[in-house]
Amino acid sequence: MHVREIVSGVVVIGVAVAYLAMTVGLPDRGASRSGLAPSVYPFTIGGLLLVVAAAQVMTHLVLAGRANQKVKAGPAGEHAQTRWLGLGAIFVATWVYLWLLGLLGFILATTLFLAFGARLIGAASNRTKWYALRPNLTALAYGVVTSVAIYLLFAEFLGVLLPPGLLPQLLDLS
Amino acid sequence: MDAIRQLLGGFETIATDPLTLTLALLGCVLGTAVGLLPGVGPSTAIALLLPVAISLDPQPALVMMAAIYLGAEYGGRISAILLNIPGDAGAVMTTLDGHPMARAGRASSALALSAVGSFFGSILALIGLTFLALPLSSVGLAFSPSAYLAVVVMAVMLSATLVGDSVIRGVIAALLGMMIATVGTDLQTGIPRFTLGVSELLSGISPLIPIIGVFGIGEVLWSVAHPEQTVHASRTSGLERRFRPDLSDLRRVRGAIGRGSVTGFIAGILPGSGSSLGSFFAYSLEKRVSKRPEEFGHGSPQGVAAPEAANNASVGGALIPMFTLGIPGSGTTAVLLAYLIVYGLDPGPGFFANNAELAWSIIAALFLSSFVLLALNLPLVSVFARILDIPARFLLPAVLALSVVAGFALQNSPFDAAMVIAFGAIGYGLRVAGLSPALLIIGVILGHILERSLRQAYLLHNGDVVSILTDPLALLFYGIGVVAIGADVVGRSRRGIAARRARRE
Repeated sequence: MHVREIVSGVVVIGVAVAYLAMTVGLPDRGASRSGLAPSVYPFTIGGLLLVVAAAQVMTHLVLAGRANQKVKAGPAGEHAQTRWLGLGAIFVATWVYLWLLGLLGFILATTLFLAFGARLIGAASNRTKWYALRPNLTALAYGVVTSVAIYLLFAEFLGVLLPPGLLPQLLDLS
Repeated sequence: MDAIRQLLGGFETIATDPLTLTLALLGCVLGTAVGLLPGVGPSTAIALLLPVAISLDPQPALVMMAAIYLGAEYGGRISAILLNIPGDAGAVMTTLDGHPMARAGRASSALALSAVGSFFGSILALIGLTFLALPLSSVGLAFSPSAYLAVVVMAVMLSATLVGDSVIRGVIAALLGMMIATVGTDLQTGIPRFTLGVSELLSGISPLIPIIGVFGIGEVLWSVAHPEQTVHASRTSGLERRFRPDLSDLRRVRGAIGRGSVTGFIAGILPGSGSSLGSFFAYSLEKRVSKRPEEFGHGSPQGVAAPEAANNASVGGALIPMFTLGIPGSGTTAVLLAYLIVYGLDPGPGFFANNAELAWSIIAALFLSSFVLLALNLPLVSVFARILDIPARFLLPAVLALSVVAGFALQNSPFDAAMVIAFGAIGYGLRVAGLSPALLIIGVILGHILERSLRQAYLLHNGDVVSILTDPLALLFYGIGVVAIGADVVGRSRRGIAARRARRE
């Protein structure tokens, strides 16, 4: 348990130091009896964060030392079950989806993303093969229906302008 | 008596106008549907319907807007409880206990409790609005910037002890959120802060972006990485399939609903605080007075009912400064105020006198909408709970896509959508580090309000820090904050000592 707190505390210290470094670089323009300089408030927040994060690290180093235990990973199994591959794949896929939104348009990009996501998550839980036809067709159908539903909700009902992409051109060609 | 007569007149006006009545009902349905969507809160919903409203007469349009306002508060709790994705800032506190209840197989109970809490919160606040609008209108004015600053500082102090068992981790999460709130252009000097040269960050980071990212995408990433912790549908006990809450839960939450309603109503009166401060204080108060504070954060019914009552009560409270002073009590009332001005109606001290029929029609419509929303939502709780039956391979990608689209839709900006995804990664990281995503969001919301009120107080007191801190009302709030923190620390120490003693035995 202490490893998690120590590591996260060190990361937060790093964030606080970077934040304070940027704060120090802010000009003091505007400091007067009628106004706070733009750096005062952020400096206070960053300073507090640095102190509290350091307190967390010190506290857990002391606790770990007092217990005289080898600093070890968190409770058994807490992260042992993390599906890093699936996590990485879905995270990258989400960025690719955002990129494809501008390229292919909302409906095509969302269909592909939803189908991919359904197969990725489904394959992990059902242990189906990637090339299995039925799950792929189901995922594609789900992608089409859901993307159209989201499109109708945002574009037609709420009036949000979603990227049209290639679909209007494809429909014109046909 | 005059208020009752006026209110009855308002009911008569609505009942005899089929268009107004229909739009009130439609507003309830639209508001609930829109409130379900992450990032699309009541203010966005009302703003998006501006073209429709402009084509209508003021009375039916404003009645519909008010119904949407209330409906969206209802809708925001559904995704908060079922998916751990608050519909807007006001629903953040509902996730703390609503989602754990859903994970424990009590989704229907949580939804029903929140519907009942929301109903009573609305009704109590509307009674307050009806009888106390004019006397209470001066309450908002009594809050000087230094008193308001003290309220926010008190909220920040309370937030650290609100979630989780570690005060230090709570403080870290809240401070990280407050850091995020400083990104953008300093309003007083025009200097960009922490924008890293990115022009899209000059306008700052809207609180909705981290809300959607941390809760929406962060939750999905966690579910993909740890599928064994994915929420399952209510275990099929007959009780969970009914739409009414468990009677023992109802008995437990009646005090919470009462306290939450009053807290939300008062918070709503404070200009600019909105439903987020109200639900925050209601949750915080409830945790402190509860005989079972250890249940909070793990599925306490009071933890659901209190913030939900406060959410809806803040609607009634926020209308008081809007009608009587022309000052918006929340972001949504700011949009409503814009409508009033567009229609040439002058909100202010004479509003009730000069536009009595309109004002009382709106209040009557809100009463009606409260009943409609309860009647609409309560029977549907088991239907909503079925959302959890959707297989993860279909639900999770849809949540991801909705989150990305919601981020894009805020300002039609791919950059905002990218920020949402980035915050998703941050949300996952927070969970790994044992830091509360909810406290990060609370920090973002409070951070915006805190710096603004600090600057106002500093400006108005000519930089005299002593006079800022020694305002009588401010001292009261600082004192409450210190006492609350102290009581919490003492309580935790006592519980820790008792636990260690029990282990030794």
